Amino acid sequence: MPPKEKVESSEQVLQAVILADSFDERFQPITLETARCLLPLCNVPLISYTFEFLAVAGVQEVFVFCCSHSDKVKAFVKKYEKSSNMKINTIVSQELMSVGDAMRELDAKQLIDTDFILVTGDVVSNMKLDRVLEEHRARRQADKSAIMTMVLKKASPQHRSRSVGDGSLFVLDQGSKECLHYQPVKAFKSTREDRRMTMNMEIFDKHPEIQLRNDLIDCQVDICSVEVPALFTENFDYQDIRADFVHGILTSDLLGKTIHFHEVSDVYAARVRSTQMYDAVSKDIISRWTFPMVPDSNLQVGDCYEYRRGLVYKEKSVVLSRTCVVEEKVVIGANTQIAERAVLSNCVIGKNCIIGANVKIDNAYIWDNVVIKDNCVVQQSIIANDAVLEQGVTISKGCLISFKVTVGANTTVPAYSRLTALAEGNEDDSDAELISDPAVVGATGRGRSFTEAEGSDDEDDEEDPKNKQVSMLAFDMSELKLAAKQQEDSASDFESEASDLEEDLISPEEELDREVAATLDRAFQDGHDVDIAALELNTLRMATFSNFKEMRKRVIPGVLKHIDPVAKAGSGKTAKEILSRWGPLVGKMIHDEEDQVDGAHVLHRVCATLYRDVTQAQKVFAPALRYFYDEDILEEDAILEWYHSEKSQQGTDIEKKLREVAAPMIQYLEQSDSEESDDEDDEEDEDSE
Amino acid sequence: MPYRKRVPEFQAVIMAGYGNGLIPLSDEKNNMPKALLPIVNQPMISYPLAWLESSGVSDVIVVSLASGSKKLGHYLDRVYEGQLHISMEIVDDNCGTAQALARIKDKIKTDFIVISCDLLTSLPPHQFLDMHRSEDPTVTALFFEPSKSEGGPTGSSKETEVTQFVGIDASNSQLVYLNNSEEMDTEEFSVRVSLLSKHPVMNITRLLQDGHLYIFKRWVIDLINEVSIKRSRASLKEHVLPLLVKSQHQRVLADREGVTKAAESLTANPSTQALALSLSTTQAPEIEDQSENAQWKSPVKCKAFVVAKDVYCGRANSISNYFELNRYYTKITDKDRNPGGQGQVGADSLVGDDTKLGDRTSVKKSTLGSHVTIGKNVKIVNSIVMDHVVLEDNVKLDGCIVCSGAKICEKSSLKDCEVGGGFRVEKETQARNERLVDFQEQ
Repeated sequence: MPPKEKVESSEQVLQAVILADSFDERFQPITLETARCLLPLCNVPLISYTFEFLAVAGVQEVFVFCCSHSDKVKAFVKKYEKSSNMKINTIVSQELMSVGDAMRELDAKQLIDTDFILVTGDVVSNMKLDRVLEEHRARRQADKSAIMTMVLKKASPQHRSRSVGDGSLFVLDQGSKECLHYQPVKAFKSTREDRRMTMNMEIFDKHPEIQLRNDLIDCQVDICSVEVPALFTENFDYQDIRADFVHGILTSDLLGKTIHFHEVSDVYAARVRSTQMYDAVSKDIISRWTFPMVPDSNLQVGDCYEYRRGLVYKEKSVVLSRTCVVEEKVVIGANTQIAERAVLSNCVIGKNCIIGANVKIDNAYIWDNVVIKDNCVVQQSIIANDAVLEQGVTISKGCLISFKVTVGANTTVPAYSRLTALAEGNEDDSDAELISDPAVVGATGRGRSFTEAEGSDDEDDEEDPKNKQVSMLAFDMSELKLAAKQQEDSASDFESEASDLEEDLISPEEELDREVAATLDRAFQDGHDVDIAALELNTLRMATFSNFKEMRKRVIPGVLKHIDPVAKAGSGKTAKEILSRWGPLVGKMIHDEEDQVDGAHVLHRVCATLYRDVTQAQKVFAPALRYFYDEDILEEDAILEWYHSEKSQQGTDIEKKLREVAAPMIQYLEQSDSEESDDEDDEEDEDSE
Repeated sequence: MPYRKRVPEFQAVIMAGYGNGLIPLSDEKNNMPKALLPIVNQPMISYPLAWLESSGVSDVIVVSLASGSKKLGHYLDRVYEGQLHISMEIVDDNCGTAQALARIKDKIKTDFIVISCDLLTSLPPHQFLDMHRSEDPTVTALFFEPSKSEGGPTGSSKETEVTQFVGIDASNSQLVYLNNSEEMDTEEFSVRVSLLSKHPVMNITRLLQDGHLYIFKRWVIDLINEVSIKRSRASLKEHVLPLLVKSQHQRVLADREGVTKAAESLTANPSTQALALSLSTTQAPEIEDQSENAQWKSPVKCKAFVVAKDVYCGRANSISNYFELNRYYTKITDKDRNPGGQGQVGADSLVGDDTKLGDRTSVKKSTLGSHVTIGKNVKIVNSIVMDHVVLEDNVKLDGCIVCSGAKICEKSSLKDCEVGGGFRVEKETQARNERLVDFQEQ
């Protein structure tokens, strides 16, 4: 333990509040069985880092708020307190659902009587807080309305220790060190509100010069005055400290409170908010960015790590076989045995683990008492305590293997799997029988794949699921792009600013163009039902206050576009095949005779513009017209009306030529003559290519 | 050594506009064009000319509106004594700045500086030019924080100043955002997040003013031409510069408005470039990513030069600013020439040649032109009196601007007034905050 620091010239005890619960589900299923703050990070429980950080800052009294698995937290804290100079109180309340609840509880219990440090239980940081505290106190003396100072760390928007999808935009006044506006940034900006930073114009009245910052990591280390919990009580709907509290205070005219910031650089600060951040922070600890909080400073009592070259940390009692290879950035806990020819790189291995021969572990986090038998491969995954991997198991990247799961021999666990050994249903009910899923864990395995409870009553419901995905362990941007492409989500501008047009320039019509195109592409690619596609289009039509005419203008080219006039029969791209599959969709956009005439006009025009070559255009137009006639989408009268209308007789050369193609059909319609011959003509046209 | 024609680095264009904000001072018939209005008894335009001369620029084109061209031409031809090679171009009276530049586009051969005739600054030119030289942006624009006014005649002060919101990337002083309060939502201020991920630290301020001093790349003149065709009375500040700033991030806009085209036309011929590279033995073949997803790189880069707070910078584009500039320059001008007679002239005042002061006359914080005739017991405080003005006995001026040739008869007392050129103020006139000009001018 580092020596306790003296609190400078303040008679009062420096207090801190740790919110041990994260109030989210990102680490499930692992957090079903233990508290988030007790997850081992480089073999040390997460909350130890936070305690350490506070101890260095000179905190003398800590209140730990916990909710789920409070007994475990309590036990740990009790043990920890013995070796610490801080007075640590655990406050358990099962009703806590959010940060807001915890703050209200804090206010109700009246535990705090001075400015305090508010942190979450997953902060890893080596920064010193004395400057911040000084600044905050000085500000408080001058101005009582300065209720909070946020500590923000400078780092570029793409910094590793910045959680993807948890970004935040700050508007600051560098003169007065005041925070003027806060807005969270999502990875996927699906709505206009997400894509723009919007703040009140009035801010300029008081602060003519402002700074917009997108390069600050917010690790939620706040110096709060006693009013903060009280304000939470007053505004009982505040849940999140940033999105609700900071935003509420800054936008409220009535409260007249101000929130300030303190910018730090050259120090380490990060929060383990997601599995992805777990990975990033672990690597930072191993790479010693968090010094002095590194494995060989032995934060835990009884640890005795040895630091070797290549960023390898090893307990004395580790047994390494002669032929095993320990590459760079590896932490190995006490009493772990590593068998012959095992290859370890970029990984953390807990205590009492047994790693078999020929095992390859890369970028993985193996917790305590895990048994990995011979020939296993583990990539970019987290494997919790007491899990067993039988021989020849492959764990693909991004997996979370929870406590006591056994994966049977020669099983390949697909990427991003989450396995648990807890019985389904009520998670607290330990009596329920676990039904193992052999498809997932193999015949001899023990565990099932975990699916998140649907419809959890969080506000997350409205959140784009992709935003959740990006914070997952080993999440790969390339996959994301692929997925985005498949969905042809025109709005997803994850990193290509180029595609992010000035939305002001996009008229509703263009918007509709895009949306229809996207819907159709989706339908084509995923092979939707015509009914489903029609339903989607109708929804779109209503959402954009459009009409069928506008929809026809877009749907018909959308369908025809997929016809390849030179494709061979059977390739699924000939006019006939496409039309028989998707023609009815056009039919859904056509209702009365007026529609039909218009439809014929659109078809005519589209064919003329879509294909460069006259013969190609003809080859699409003729069967299309015929098809629509055969299917009664365009009726006889409508086609005739179209043919004889002035509009169809004018136009470009290509349009005129197309009209000529229709001549035989018109003749037929007018005379009700031989149907066969025309039909064959068309067929031959197609086949001859 | 063979004679080689010297290729100038920059050409300079001085825009001598009408000076709408300076009416009635800038009235052509009765007084003089804006460019010749005196600041500390020097024509305004002599300041940008001197600034350009010290910057090392040699070729200057003065673009004047037809209305003021005669007097200005005379000044440049006969009176101006500097070393610059000046040519004058005359454009129609109802011409925006961009249009005016488009008219002379054939004369622009190199990167060019555009400066307004009303810009006065103590900024050493090389500081500004070096920024352009080292960063090689499409445009470098000067911004300054106007100094606070100390009172005086405000002119038609009802005109509310349009505030500009200027966004500058703090790390590389790129000008990334430009908007003025007229076009903006009055309730909300909004910026795209993608802009912030490109420029994570962005300072936005509404204190800065556009100094109307720009350095453009040569190709921008084509764009200016394009813009001026598209809209009438196109202005550099209101149309061209915002278009360039936006084209840095908005591909569609850049393509649509012809920015991309204009930029490409003037860059080195790509085929020769490719040929040269392919023949090179040291240059690795460039793998060009032509795919659609490749990051679009804007052909435009805008830089903002913000004048430091301790460097003086001002624009005489309104009466109050004109007054302010006069006051400032009077303060710093050498006053050895002041007639010491009877100690009536305060240390912060300047009196032109051949100006006679009557007995018991006092001049404080004021600038007096040449050939001014002043009677007895005249009090002049905080005022500008131009050439050939006659002030009779017992006249009191406080915060006034008296244009040349005006006559103020005895015992008049004026406060915060502007007196038009050649106007005769009848005796014993009492006026406050008035504009005393010939009726038909209005």
